[in-house]
Amino acid sequence: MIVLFFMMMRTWNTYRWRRWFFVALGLLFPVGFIHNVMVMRGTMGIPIEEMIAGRTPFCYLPIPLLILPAAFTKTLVFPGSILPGGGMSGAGMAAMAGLWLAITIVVGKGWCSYACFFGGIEEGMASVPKRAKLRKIDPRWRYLPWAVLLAMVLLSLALFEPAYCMWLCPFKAVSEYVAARNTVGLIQNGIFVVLFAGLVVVLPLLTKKRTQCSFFCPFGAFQSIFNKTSVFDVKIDQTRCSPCVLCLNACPTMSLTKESIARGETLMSCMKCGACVDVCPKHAAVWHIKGTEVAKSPERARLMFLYAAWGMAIMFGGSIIAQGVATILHVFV
Amino acid sequence: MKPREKLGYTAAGVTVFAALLVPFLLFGVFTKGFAALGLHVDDVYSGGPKARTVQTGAYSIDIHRPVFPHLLQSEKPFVQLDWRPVSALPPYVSDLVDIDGDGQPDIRVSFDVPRDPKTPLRVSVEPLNKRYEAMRNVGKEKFSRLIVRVDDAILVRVPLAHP
Repeated sequence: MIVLFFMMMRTWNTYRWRRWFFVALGLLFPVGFIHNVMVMRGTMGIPIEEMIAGRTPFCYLPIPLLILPAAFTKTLVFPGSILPGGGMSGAGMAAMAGLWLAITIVVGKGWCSYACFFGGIEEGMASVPKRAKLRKIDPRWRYLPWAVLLAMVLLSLALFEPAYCMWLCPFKAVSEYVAARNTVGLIQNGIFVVLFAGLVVVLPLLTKKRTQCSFFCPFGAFQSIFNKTSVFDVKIDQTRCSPCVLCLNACPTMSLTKESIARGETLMSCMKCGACVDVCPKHAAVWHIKGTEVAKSPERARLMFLYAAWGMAIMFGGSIIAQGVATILHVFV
Repeated sequence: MKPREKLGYTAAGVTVFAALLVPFLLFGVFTKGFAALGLHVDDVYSGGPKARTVQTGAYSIDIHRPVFPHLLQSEKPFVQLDWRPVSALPPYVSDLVDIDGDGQPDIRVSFDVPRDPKTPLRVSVEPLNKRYEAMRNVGKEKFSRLIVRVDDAILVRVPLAHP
């Protein structure tokens, strides 16, 4: 990861080197995790006794679902443990929530490009084809994550269960799932597989976009709120922009529109991956610190953001990548 | 440099400094802060707080408070009973349990205790009080109706017929 950071500094290219890390994170997390659960319990399905014992591993995706039930009843609607010692990783819900809050303060929505250990799978898929086969995507799909977020938050409050984890999380297909004890369980697992295949494999291959992140992920929508609180963002320098819309086509999350380019800004769903900055031939897309002039010292803004974001990436993703590599070596060598 | 710019760069500097502090300070502070909120895991998962313990020879039975699911939850109200330690249990358990503590047995719980912890468990519950539902040869159907082995205990959840 230090080599990748060195290459970022040397080539002034952010997206390309970040993607190496991010795809490795996305691919190696399931390797380490699945190996861990198979060794511990022999199946990827979570048995009911593990839930009762509070040993369900807790990731960050259910965090927005827990807020309303916790606010109204002081109850966490997740079968995990609050303090360390319960989950497969040894970390409890408090540790994951603390880590999420700390990283979010630093990078805001940048979480989705530097810390999320699921997004790398579809970013890897999106980078496979040279050209997109599906180019026309209705921009209204961008609102879907907000609808999913609203529906899942309200359902979680009504049913007192993490509704997204129970019914819609595509990444259950590559981590763990509710053990199918009956027809309902089979339907749930079928939904996980179909969503994973469609949103994380097939559509990124066809569109060269991170389709699950852009059009489905409720946590991503929730995280967009924190883009407003982060001090770093990406701007379009109007004095240099032609506009050629190369940035619009390069953005993996459709966070740029012609209107937003005309305003000189990205949409709030921008994950600060740096694709638009790197692709712009006129250096009009720039890293920016809020409150400062857009064209003034964009490299200073880039450096400050990358120091913070890469520090978080090393801290959060470094150990996951190391565990994945160790697992592969352990199993195959 | 304008005051807004100064503020922006100061905030960016603080953010970079905060990033350095995350593994050493912020992560721990936020984790402890979250843990101190006084939240608890939903009783449908945890089984609710323990009400009392009944000693039965070499083993004991922990009786939990009844758990009443929330409005739209798909579980019935239940009470959880824990037999522990498993090593002290006979090969076949058939106990009369006084759940409400009035001196009268409320249910008879019967199950086999296989030596292999991976062997699926089955339980039968005969209600002696109409407040509790009967269970016949039940495994782990639902959170409110099951028998499972968790660590060194065997947990039985009996649904309430008339909460």
